[in-house]
Amino acid sequence: MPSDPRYYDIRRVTGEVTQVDIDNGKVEQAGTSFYDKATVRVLGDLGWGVLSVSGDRIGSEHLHHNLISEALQASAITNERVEVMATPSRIHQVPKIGEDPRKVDLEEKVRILQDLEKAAGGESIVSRRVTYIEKAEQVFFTDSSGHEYQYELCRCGFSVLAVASRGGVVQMGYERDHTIRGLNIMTWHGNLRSGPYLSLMQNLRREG
Amino acid sequence: MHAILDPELGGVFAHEAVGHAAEGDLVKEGNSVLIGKIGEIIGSPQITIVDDPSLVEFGFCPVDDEGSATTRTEIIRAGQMKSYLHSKETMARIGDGTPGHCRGMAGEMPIVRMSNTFIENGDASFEEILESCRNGILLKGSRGGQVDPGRGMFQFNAEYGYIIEGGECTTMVRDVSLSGEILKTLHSVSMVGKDRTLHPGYCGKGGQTVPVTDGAPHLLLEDAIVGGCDVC
Repeated sequence: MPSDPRYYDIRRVTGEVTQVDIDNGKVEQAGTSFYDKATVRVLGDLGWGVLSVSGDRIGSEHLHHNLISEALQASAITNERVEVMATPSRIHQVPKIGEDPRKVDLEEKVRILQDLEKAAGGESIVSRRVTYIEKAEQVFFTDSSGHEYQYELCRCGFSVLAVASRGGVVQMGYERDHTIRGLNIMTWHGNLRSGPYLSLMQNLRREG
Repeated sequence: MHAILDPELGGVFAHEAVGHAAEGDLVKEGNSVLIGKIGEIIGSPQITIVDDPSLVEFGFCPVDDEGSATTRTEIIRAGQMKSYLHSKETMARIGDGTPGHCRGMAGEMPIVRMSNTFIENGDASFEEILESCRNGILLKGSRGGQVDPGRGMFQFNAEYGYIIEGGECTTMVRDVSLSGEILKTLHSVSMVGKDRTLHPGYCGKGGQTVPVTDGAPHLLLEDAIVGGCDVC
């Protein structure tokens, strides 16, 4: 039976992912999925015992103790001693975001992305695809040194792929923009015929 | 031939060819050309390569997934190998680096990962780089490739390129690729631009995908190995 853990940490991540794929004018998929997962890592006498559980099992101190015991038992089967270094611990402030993508409904995002996809068309362009992905996560962390952090981070962005064909020669162009600063497709949509999106499409066509 | 890498391709080189080789778990496994190189001059004095999870870009980590503080790490400074990227475990095992580079997807064991990886600005303008190159090729964008961090070899495909003649871009070309040895290529950088841009994307390793950026300014490589080159 292993002795007390030399180190442990618990990281719970709750999140939602929204993805939209538009291929040659057809919306192939548009939807949101949700998840709540936790990882419990315990360093026993030798190596790591790791549990990956549903996040709702992370709650009271009592539940933590049970999960840590379970992971400690798992560590007993390891046969190589692992050491970890004590490291400085602090959290940076998460920057404020502009427009929160979760507050824009899926139908409006699809309409904007359809316009972006059409704008990628042009002479010799034979195929177009736009993909949008948005992931918002809340992270809770605690460890045996008494560190405890909680933060929320939302990432979103899109990519545009265009294929050109001329005289039997085919060339693909690909551009993307992802950010942690808030919903960016509105800004691109507002400049469809000018500014950054026009430059992006010019790059795409040049590559094609 | 002389080759100019645009910021996107330069960023891919920083991430794929250098960044992964600097990850502490690859060093621990013996699968890195950077093993035993701490303190050695491994590239041009113009080259500084950084991984910075505290930078507020797409690869930003307010704290790493082991609760370690995230901070700017200079992997290479002025051509000298300075630091590996570490987790608590690899830091204890290997040392010579900075922890705070441990990340994992939800429900997964965190491992050593990059975040925002880039080549720092130099002081040359793009026009100066073109003039200095004189005759060669400008490589634009990235279309995948492969790297062997253990043997120190790489091959990257550019999206397209331009032949450079007399210091000016002329014919557009496609299907061009850059290949070579990582350390030799680091030594062959003769000019570094001052127009660094960062490009967001995703990095896959160990079955996990994390958001990252990579970036660079324009770079001039002397005597690069360039293949393909179908004239448009």
